[in-house]
Amino acid sequence: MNDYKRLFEEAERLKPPPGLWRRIESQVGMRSGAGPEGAGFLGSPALRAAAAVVLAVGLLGLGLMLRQRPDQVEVAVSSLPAVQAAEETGTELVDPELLGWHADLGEVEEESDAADEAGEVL
Amino acid sequence: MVSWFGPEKKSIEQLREGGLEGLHWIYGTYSQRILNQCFRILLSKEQAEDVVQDLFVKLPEIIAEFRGESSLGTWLYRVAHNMCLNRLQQAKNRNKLEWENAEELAPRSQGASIETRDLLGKALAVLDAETRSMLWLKEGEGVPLKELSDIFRLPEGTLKSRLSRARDKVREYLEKEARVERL
Repeated sequence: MNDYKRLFEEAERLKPPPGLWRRIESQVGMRSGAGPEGAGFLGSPALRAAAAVVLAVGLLGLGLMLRQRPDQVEVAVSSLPAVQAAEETGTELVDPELLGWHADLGEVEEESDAADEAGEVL
Repeated sequence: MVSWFGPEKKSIEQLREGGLEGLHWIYGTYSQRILNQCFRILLSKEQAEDVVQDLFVKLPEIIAEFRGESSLGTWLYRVAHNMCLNRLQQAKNRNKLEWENAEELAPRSQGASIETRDLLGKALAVLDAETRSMLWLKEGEGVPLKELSDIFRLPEGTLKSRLSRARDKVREYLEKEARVERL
């Protein structure tokens, strides 16, 4: 065997150190967040497509409901606790007496305007 | 198109679905060959291990680029080759790798005789990184010319002439070393 061939045939061949796979495994887990299997599941195109379909069906259903039965939707919306609370708050803020006073004031102003106009004429 | 079959195909599918079993199978099958290829390009055991680690960590993402036009092994050799050249380029930019390599050429691990191992490292060091990669895969791993053509994206004729020139340089180096030893 010549020197050239022996150079390659007797060459040292490295073996991956025992800890190398562990390091790769842990880094793959870190890169994918919840581990490689979890990431694969969460990030799979099939799951993303399924989520998109569920969202589209939900929006379509809401749209149909609004189109076909707006009264029921209104009732359903008005029965929401948040809406009820808002309504209660609204009635407290608008004081009926204040509204009455404001209305009287308007009348008084109207009356005085009429008197002024009469005086001017006289 | 090269057909890839059996456990290799299954592993690729598992890897594409995010399964660690597929990655483990590919690691077990190819990591040693890739490690040695990187070692011969970078002339550094530590840096070769870094590249192998980097390659397998990125593999779940970059496997999408593997279209099965060559065997997985050929594709991995190509990816490893490119990663090593990138690393050399980065190190060259930092202008410090030459000194690190000079230290790495000193034999450390067990296996082949120290003299032979050291001589191979020195002999390959007379070649540029890409030619080192070609020559190692041809002579050290027995990769056929057709596959080398896929790895380096070069016509077989070009590869033959580059390999021939590389052999001449290595032989020349060996003769010079032998003359020095006889003195």
